[in-house]
Amino acid sequence: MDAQAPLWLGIVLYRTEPAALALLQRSLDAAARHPRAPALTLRQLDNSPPARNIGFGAAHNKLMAEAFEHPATRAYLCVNPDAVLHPDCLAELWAEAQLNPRAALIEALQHPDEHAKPYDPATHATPWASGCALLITRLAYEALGGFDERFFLYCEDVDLSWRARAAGLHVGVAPRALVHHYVADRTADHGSVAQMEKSAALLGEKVAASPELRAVADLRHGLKFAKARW
Amino acid sequence: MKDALAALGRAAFGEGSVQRARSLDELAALPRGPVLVALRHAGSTSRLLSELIGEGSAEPAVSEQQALAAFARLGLAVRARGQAADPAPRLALAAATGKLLRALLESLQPLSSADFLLFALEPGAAPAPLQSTLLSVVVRFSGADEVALDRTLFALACQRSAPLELVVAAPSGAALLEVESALARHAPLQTFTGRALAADGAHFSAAAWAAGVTAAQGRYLAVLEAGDLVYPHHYPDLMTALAREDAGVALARGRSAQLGPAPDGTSFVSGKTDEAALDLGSLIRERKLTAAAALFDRQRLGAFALDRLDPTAKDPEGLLLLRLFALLAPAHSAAALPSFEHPARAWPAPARSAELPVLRSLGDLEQLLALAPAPPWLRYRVADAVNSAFRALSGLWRKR
Repeated sequence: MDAQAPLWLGIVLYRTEPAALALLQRSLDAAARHPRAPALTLRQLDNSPPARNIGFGAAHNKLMAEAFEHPATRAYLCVNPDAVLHPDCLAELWAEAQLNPRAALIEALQHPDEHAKPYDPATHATPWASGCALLITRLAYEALGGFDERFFLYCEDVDLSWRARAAGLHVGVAPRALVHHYVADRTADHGSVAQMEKSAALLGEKVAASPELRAVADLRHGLKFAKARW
Repeated sequence: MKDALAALGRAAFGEGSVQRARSLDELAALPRGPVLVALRHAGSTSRLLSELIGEGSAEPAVSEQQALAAFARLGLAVRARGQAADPAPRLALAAATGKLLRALLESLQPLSSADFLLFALEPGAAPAPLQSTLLSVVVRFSGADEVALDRTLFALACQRSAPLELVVAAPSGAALLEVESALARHAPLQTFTGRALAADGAHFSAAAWAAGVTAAQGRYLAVLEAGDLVYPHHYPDLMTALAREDAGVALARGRSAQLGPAPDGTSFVSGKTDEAALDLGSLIRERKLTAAAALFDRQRLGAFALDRLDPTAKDPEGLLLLRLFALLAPAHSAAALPSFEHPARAWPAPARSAELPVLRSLGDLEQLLALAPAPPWLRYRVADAVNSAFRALSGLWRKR
């Protein structure tokens, strides 16, 4: 791992199970050995007690700021701690980001239950990109400044995607870059529901206040933020 | 029978003379070395019906389990197996009655059509006993789509049941090399042990099933095709269902994915369809029940022959499951959501009811397969609830 690496990878932890983190680490090691994967630097930030939980977006912003301080850094990849990368994931994300000079956000394809939001099978453009395994280019960072830290959890990725698209940047999926991540069967507690409502309200408020965001936002499909394929 | 035994010997040992035996006593007396043996089968339909009508034969016969136990005692391993019918069975039954009874028995146990059990044996260790906590997943890969295989193995490597053994059966040659490469690619996750297995023959799917099931060492067994994807809780949920119901087989609901090629050569999922329930219509009339839905507990199933599919059947997997359900009630996963998916397939035409003789009434089977777990409070339901509030808010904003 090299501080002058073109790719920085950040993981924000919150009471993460050691076994899950170890599995992610093994998958990262394998993906980093891919011959077409870029050299990378790995950073973690733990939001668990006794540290103050500053939220998902703010934590990634701290890591991102450190990453982009280095002129050699071309992109930052945020990865959820409960994700597992496919051995080709880093190489394919990197390759996808090179395809479009306006590439801002490139997400890995969630596996085994692919996200139902649409993407263009030819251009790979998608209305918004999930923060589960999201590559953020220097172009995006310099134009948008990272996540809006008013979102503590949820919807910060949708907001970043819509701001990128409103700025004329490319938000896309890398269909060959798989990340194993499955949350459909997780139960939701009242805290999660309240957080989701708060973030959704903030997002709606931002859209209402900005004609540029209104031009790209999709509020007709509720928290799916796009018409689902199924 | 002699011709069938000779063919088995050529397939197992090539040309050349190999010693032969026609009983376990003869076998025990032979010098140690490769041997072909033909044994009259105690569980054959002819034999069972003869006993039923009081015309039992005095000729000695053995069950398959007795034969395998005897080979193990003699230090002989099975290199290949086959079966043969008696060309002229004598049975004092009306033709139609005999035919119906045969069909019933064979629907429960396909091996009952064998009047003779044929084995090619060689010195070697008997197969290891089943490992009591191990989950074995057999994956059949025809060689057609290596990306599909890779995605299946990645999903398996990330599922949450441990310990896990992956047995991937493929035709010899390039496909088998691809399997070895794919297993090695995911080995760094250290979540499974894997091995590639050659499966050759005219009916690949049945040959791969048989080779994989025979080689699998786990008490818990599942069979997938390359392209099937299991979600992380699929097997833990099925194991819970097996234990809860003290069942030999458990079923989960799945979904089919409509796949099409994208311009860049990747596959694009245009839709997914949840299978509403495991009802009899899905099982028989539409034949949509795949083996991927099932987890078997081989210890509880005992002598039921899981390793044999009828390669000539229109839907060999469906027939095997139907035979099993005629004997044992399946348990159901309590998961509220489908826990696996498979590519949408062109399903075989529905079989006529005459092809499906079973001991249970169809109504009884339908009740066994009814599934109605109550959905818990899940994330997607939360999202739906929040959506309602969100839509109301966005309506207000549009008015501003």
